[in-house]
Amino acid sequence: MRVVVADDSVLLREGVVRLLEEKGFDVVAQAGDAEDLIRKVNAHKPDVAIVDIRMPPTNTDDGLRAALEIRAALPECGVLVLSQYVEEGYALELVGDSAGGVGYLLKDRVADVDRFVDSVRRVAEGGSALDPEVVAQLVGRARRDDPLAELTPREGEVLELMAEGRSNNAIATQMTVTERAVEKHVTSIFGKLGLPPAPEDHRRVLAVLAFLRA
Amino acid sequence: MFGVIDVALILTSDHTNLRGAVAVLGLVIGWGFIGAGLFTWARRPDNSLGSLMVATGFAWFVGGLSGSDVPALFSVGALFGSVYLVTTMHTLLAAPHGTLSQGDRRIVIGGYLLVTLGVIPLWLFFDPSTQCEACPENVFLVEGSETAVDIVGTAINLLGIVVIALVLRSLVRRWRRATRSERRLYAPMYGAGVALMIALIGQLSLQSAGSEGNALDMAFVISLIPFALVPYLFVGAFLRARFVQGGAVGALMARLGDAQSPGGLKEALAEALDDPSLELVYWLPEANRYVDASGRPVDLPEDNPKRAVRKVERDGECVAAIVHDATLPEVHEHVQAVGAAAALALENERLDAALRAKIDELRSSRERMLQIGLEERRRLERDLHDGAQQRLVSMALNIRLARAKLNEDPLAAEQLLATAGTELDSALEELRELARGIHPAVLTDRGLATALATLANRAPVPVELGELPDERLPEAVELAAYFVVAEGLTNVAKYSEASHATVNVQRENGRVVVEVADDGVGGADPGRGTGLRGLADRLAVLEGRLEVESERGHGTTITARIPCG
Repeated sequence: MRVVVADDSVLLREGVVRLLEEKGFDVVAQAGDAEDLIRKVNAHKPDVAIVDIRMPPTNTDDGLRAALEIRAALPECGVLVLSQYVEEGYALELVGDSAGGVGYLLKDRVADVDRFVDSVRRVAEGGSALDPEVVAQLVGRARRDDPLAELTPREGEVLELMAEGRSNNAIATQMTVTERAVEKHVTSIFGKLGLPPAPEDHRRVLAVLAFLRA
Repeated sequence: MFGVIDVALILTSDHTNLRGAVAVLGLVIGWGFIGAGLFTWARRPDNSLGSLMVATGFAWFVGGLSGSDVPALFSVGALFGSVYLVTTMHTLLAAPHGTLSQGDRRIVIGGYLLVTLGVIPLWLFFDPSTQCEACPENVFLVEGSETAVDIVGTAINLLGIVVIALVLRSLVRRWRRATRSERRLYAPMYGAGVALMIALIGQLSLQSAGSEGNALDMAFVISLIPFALVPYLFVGAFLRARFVQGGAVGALMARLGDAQSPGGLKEALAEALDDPSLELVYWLPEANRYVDASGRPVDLPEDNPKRAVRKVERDGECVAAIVHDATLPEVHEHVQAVGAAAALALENERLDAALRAKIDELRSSRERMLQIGLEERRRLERDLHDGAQQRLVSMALNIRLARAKLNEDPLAAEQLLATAGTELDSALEELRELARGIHPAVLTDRGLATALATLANRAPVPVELGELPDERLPEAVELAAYFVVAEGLTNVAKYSEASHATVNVQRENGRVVVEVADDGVGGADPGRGTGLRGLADRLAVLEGRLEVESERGHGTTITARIPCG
């Protein structure tokens, strides 16, 4: 799996690169700013680009803008954005109208190597990986007539994992239940929230996000 | 006419002593009162003093009828011969506004009752022929009884003394309470009033003591002198007030041209209006309040009988207000004239005062900002020290311990590392929150709309975002607006018990208007708590203003107006 890593902090970039190489990824290029990233992504056409949100030249959200540009220009290239803090607004912007091949995680998550690697792989393969904190913000938003109140605690848990972009299999493992049980929960959730059934994981994410942001 | 008839009656009277003096004084007094009364009436129709003086004049002439040799005229004149005294007291007590206080009204009513109804029993029993042979008949006579006359007469005299003493007390008390300019103006009038009261008391005392003849007549004539002066003194005071002030407007105009020191205009106006207690305050429309010449905020006194407030306008806008002694006659129109004459100078001083007020405000808001800055740094230091730093220290300790145990007790080492990992997560979490509190990065990156959406999302109360600006605003304005909403929503969550809140940010007339409204319990006090105060200071730096509307039971709305291109 071919990866481009972009971060202006050399220390973090080298750390991520070493970690990915240990796990068998092929890091084809590294970039220190947004322009450099776009150039290298265009040149190497990797499976996934891992991008720090805050980068030169302006040191604001250059990474995010570059990520959006890559998603528009190269839809087959997955983009995983890392950030020191999460803004649910950024997540929604990044996802736009397709949750395929996109990820948005807190930088801290890198420390949980297995889950991080899993996320990178998911995004590279056209799935999605949203930070649990983003999902928690969206789910936890105060609403006037909250249909989420109708979900059972188990269903709430499944909803959050779904929104993160996990597959039924991953959810089952995480919750130590059978995949069949997860499927039942999912059907129930979609019924209660009045969502149309979505077969693929990333379409499911989009549907759930669309519901949560409304 | 009435006067001439009176004079004729007195001069031909067979029973009047000191005929010449009484006749001349009588005419002077009657005409004096009526003339002065008509003059005042014409100038100040809303003031009852004019009509009171006219009434006194006629009452006086009615009393004069007692000089007549015709029994009916004599009797009426004698019966109502003292009414003029009470109308005079009424006039003195009602000066200068023409109204009576509650206590004075009682005294005057008592007086009127005494000289009308009170004297009737006397005249039922009084047979004039027992006193003087030349006197005509008393047409009201029922039965001549000297004992009854003595008893009733003494009682009336004593009551009269009581009424007069009360009037005297009221006059003296009034004098004590008078302002300097009132004293200057009314001194002769008060003097005449007091002299008249003392003379009357003397006269009644003599009568009660049984004196007769010349002593009594002399006392009567003496009492007539201050009485006769009253109308002239009234008109004199009236004219003097006008004259003094009229001359002063010219002097004021001349002085206005000179260079003014702050507060110099107040001195000039105080002199022009002859009112040392005069105050001058300036209106600051942007601050929505009055300040004095040095820029300190001032509250206007309520309009009351002692202090009057006159607003001075220039080009239809209020620029200042003159707070003056309301007891001076004619001063009201005069203040108007003086105010108009001084409007330009007032405008200049107002700008001066506005500048001073601004400087004061800047100074204090700068001090508060400095204070806020220091407090924020202290808080940051404390948060870092108690939070992230402690966790990192504990983590370093756990990692070192784990390394030491790595070989001999790998299980314990793993436990220690797991603890260190948890500490690390918490430290990172705390640092993130801290950074967000110092400056929300999303605001710089994406502007107000996105940043406010995040705030709204995280609020524990449902928040509806109304109008938000699409375009980017100056950074300082965005930050201020963000903190207004952040503080507003924090307060909604903490105190309001609201079920939902709305946030609006609009641009209007070169200002950004930020509004956070909830449907909670209201009753928020903007003066209390450091949050709103700090916000106001933050806004003051940008020349912005904060308003809090929080009627109990009607929710709370905080509105910030920030100037913005």
